[in-house]
Amino acid sequence: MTTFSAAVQAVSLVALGSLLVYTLALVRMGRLSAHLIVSWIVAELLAIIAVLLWGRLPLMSFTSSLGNRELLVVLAVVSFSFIAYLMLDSLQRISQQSAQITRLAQEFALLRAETTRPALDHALVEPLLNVPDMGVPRTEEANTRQRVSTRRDPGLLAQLALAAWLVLCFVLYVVQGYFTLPAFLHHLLLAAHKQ
Amino acid sequence: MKGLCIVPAHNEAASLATLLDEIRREGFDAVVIDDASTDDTASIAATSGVPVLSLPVNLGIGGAVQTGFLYATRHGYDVVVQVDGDGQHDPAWLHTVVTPIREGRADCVIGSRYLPTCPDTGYRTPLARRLGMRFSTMLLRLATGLHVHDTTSGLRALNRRAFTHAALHYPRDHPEAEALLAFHQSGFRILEVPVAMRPRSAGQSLFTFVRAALYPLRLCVGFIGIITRQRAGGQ
Repeated sequence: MTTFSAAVQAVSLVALGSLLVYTLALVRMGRLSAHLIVSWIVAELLAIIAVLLWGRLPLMSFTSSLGNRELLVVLAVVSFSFIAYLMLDSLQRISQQSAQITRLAQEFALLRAETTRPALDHALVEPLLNVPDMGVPRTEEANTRQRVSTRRDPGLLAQLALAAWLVLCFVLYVVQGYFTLPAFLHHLLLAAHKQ
Repeated sequence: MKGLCIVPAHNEAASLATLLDEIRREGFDAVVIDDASTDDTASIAATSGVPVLSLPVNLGIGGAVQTGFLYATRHGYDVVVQVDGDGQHDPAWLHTVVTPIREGRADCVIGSRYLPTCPDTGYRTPLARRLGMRFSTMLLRLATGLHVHDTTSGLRALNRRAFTHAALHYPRDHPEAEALLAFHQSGFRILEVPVAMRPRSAGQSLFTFVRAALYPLRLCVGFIGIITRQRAGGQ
């Protein structure tokens, strides 16, 4: 395995290791439910094992004979597949919860209609009618709180940064193959190749 | 036969009172499903003396209609008719769509604007909607062999067997065409009868340009889901 491949392997291990530690930290803080995150942790562990056994995997020994450039493309494809799997898993859970919310909202509407029948004692049903709106917060203060909460969320920023970095790497690699790069970028990539 | 009109409404305060009066004159019960309206839809419906099911969050037309089916199931109705809250569906046609169900000829009756034998020449359908409807008609015919001329009509009647089934399984947004596929897959008989519709008296259509553009893709995905689910259940 070349020195460049070893550098890529080291960076990948650090990134995946950090992701795993961050995931476990979120579970420990109670911001992620443990039972929902099992498949994510399994995927991250499999990715770490795959990177550790980089040199021994048949796919990697094939690509390393082709040169480091193809190795990075394979790495980019594998990274996108990893992210796509995690996103699909999230969407699946969102779909399930969306169906549950629909059902709850319908049952709530039916129950509220039953409790507003004139025959019932109004004093008994009054507390049931005063249910807070589950819609989007309408007050300016609530909206501000919501925006501030998003701005201070390091997880969201980290995810955006990681996604942007991956997209940039992939775009630069494609551009290098088909277009003329500015001189400084060309020298930078050449130096990375030589390593 | 005990009949109920399900009136899903989202911000239809301008047209609702008149519509409910017309329904009452036809001798039908009505229930309004207020889909998280921000205007006086719920209070107007309550003032008219009909039950109001106020959803705390917006579920879309599919979720709102399904809530009406749940209500009909629990209150022992024999036939339900879906009537949009925007006033486009004339309650004068209620008995026309219910008659085939009373006679036992169908489980689901669609009030159709586009039957070749009796098209509604007075109703002008926006181009985007017409294209979407042609697409859904073609897709439904490919999937089932059924030739339904008005797949997106919201004026439809269901017997107890059909709406009890729909209370459990009903698509969320743009459910009309997918619901027909689901009914056909489940063995329900579908029939079209000619009706005439009125232009929208107030409010705004849910069918925006973006929704119209995404509708064919949305429909294909929905159809695939229903067909594959049915096949998996059959195995």
